[in-house]
Amino acid sequence: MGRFKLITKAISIGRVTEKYPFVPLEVPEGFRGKPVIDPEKCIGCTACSNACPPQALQVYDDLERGVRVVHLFIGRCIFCARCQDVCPTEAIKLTKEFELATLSDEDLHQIVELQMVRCEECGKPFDTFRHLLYTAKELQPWEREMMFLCPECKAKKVSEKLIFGKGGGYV
Amino acid sequence: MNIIFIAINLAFALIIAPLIDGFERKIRARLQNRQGPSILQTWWDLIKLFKRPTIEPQDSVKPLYKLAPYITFTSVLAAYLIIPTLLPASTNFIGDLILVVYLLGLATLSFVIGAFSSGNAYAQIGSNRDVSLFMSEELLLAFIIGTIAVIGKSLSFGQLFPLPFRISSVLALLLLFLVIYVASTRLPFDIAEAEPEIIEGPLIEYSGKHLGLLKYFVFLKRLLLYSLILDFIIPIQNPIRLICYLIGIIILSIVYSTLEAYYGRFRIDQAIRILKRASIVALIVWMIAVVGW
Amino acid sequence: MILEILKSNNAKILRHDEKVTVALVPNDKLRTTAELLFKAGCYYATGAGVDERLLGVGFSMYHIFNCEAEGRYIIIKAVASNLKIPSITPIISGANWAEREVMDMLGIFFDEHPEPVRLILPDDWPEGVYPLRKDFRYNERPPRVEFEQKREKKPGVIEVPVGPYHPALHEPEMFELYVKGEEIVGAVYRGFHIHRGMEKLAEGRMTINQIPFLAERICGICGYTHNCAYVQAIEDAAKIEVPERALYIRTILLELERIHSHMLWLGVAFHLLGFESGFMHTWRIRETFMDLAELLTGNRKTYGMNLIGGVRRNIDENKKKGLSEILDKTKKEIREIFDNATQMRELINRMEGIGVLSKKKGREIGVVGPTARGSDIDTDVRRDHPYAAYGDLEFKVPIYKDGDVLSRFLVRYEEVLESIWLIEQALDQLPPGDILNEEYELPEHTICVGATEAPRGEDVHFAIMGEGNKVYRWHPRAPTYNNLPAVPIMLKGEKLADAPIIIASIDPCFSCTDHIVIVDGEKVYRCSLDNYLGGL
Repeated sequence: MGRFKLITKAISIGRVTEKYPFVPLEVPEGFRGKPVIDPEKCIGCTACSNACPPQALQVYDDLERGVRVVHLFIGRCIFCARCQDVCPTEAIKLTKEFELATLSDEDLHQIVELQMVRCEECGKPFDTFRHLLYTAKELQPWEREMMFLCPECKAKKVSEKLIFGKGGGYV
Repeated sequence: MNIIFIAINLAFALIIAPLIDGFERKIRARLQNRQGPSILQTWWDLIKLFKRPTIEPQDSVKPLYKLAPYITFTSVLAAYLIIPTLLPASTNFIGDLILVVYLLGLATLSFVIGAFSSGNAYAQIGSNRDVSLFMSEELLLAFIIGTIAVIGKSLSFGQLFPLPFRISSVLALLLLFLVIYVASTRLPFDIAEAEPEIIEGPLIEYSGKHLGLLKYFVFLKRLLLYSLILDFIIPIQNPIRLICYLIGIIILSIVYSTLEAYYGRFRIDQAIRILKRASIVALIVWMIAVVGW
Repeated sequence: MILEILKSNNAKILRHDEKVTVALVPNDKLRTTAELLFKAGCYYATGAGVDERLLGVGFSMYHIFNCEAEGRYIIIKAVASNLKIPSITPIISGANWAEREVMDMLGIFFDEHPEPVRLILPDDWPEGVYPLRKDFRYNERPPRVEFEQKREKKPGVIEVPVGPYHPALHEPEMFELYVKGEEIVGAVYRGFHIHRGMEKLAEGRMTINQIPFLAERICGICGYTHNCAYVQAIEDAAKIEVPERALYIRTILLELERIHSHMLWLGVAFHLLGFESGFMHTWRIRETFMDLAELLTGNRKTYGMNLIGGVRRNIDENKKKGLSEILDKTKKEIREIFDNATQMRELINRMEGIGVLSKKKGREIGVVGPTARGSDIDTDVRRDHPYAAYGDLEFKVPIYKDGDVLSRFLVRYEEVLESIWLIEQALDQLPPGDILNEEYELPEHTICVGATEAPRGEDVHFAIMGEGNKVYRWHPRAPTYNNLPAVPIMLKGEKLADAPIIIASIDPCFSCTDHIVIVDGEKVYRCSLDNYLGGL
């Protein structure tokens, strides 16, 4: 009878309950757990906050102190790993940690502050040092002299050179 | 002397009944490849229930609703005075067998009335089903009692424990095995309290100590019925009666909980049909007993 | 043949290629066109209303038909004049809910609609505020309005509310059953308790590559098919060439999801019938598949594997052999459990002849998936409109004729075995190469449709591309939307004890489909949670 075969099968298999939480649980490679930002590697390029679907990563500039703040709030994170995909320096990685319940809200926030460069002309902070140096490898020689200008001042300088300049540089 | 033994029997029943339920839960869990709760879990659940406050619904008929759990509980306790469990001591008189049936009937009746008066649609449907099931099972029980009375030539437990070994008594005890299964509200016959269908049926509006008493009543009823069938089998003056009794309880629990784990639930009309067929078989067994086999 | 129908009704063809035809039909010819299409064998999939005032067109309504005979989707568009469009519900009863939804959300009125009452919005939402219009911001909250509705009590019948909270059902939905003794004499469905406003969110602030992650969270069981349907719609509009290896990986994950969803349902069916041990055995086997999914994608349920143009993660070559062994062993176990369980007479008695849906009624409503295949309706998106790698793989579509709960049970059981066979084939034939194609241009204002076969049936996503990186309109239609109107028909005349298994036999997934109902003595009203908690 079908019933009794099922009973014998159940007896032969025995207990399948895992011993977690009294024993730690193994998760496979590639498991998408909590994301962690490495402050040494982050350059503040904002690619991660662009890609993040629930906007758990937010990057904003604190113009008074001249820092760019990269703010990750795990409470909104959906663990999709898009930030890991798009980060150019592999600064943000998803670890295997999944036990994230906590009684204090501060454990869920990660903040990385990056020093920003001030424009030579107007003094407004426009980009982080690290990002500027990262993109400096791609600059042409004649662009390097305008490296430390904010985009508005740079545009002014270029148009001055075009209108008033006599060769040398761009024209 | 007798009174002390009866008191010991009663205490034994009160302490052991939830433990047997815990044991059955463990067996069912192991058959489903699970770890299962500890054997003491049912006791902890009952203690928790007795600590909680009771909430009475507005639409209920208050006196009936509040009185029903107490009547149910005490009638089943009264039945323990007649049927010996651990020690072979009990108060007996002429019509024991009928009295036990009436006490169990009183318990079920007050259970149903209490549920009906709680004013909830689900409880009313559940009570409907409970009454239909109870009436079909009583018919079968009546035939079995007739058979037993004919075999033992008396209605008093003094002469009936144990039954003489004959074909008709074996068949009657097998049918009693079925009746006990139905009366202890187990799958596939737990139609009155089907959780996925009508959310616990009659018990839905009970809470706190009332619910605790009603659940305790179910456990005590099961132990009572196990003791009844074991008393019919094990001779009363036997020196190793205690050990046989305990082993018998354990075997009955294992068999019943295994069957409970591996059956699907019946619908009320299917269950009544099965009980009707069993009643016809019981009638035939009664004829056999009358003839003398 | 479809083209002739459209042309003879003065339709203007906006797009016509091998998979999708879009036509603008004048309002006076709308009903005749719909009727001719229905008679030609197309059945109604869904309808979406769009606020196209920014594009200079006004309000428009798109009706989407699934034409199996020609293997394509046909979309007919009607533009509202003075906010009115003729209704096609008198002819096609499947359009009932789609039109009511548009009435609620956009404010277009459909002439001669038989039941123009609120469907989605709660009872205390103010009149005249339409959420899907472009001038309503996605995080705006209008003030609540007092609204009460009396329940009529019929003599002799007890009203049994199954839901919104009931142990038999795993999501909040409300079926009001009218019961005489044990027999059900009437049933009313009220749903949309977990409407989350996803369409508005997708139009409002998400970019085109972020919506797949939103689409995946529409449902907790069939999320990956929603993801695939959306991505396929956009890839169809932009004519993106997806690499073959990516298509095969998508197929493997889709079938894995189908297996885990059907095993879940089979376990739940056993639980509703009272057979707890069957539930435990089935879910124990299901764990193998969840662990497999975790190995391949990094998560047990929300795979997050799709991007427009391909997938994000590759399948390791050395894992393939291990996977085949696991699949073989599990297939034997599944067969063992079910062959033994179907020998138990009391389970078969509870399922045979219960909850019958006839083929004709099913066709009218437009049921999809195993609900349709159990009633002798031969429809399967994988075979009729091949997508991903299904064109290259061979598989059977199980059809049963009786239309009762047992037929649907057996359809799902056979589909599990077919899915295991599909995964084995796909693993065998996995082609080498790239997995993501990111070179594409996104055209503006193209209308596109993506369809997949979810475990519950046909899943249609309708999208209109927007400017830059965004979507102008996105309308997902889950399969349960089409299957739900069949439930009151199946419930009539059956016993109350069978109600949970009948409701569960269409495999309802209410997250995919849809405020809270407060039943307070005499008054029944739907209101928002803040209002109720504020009053406590």
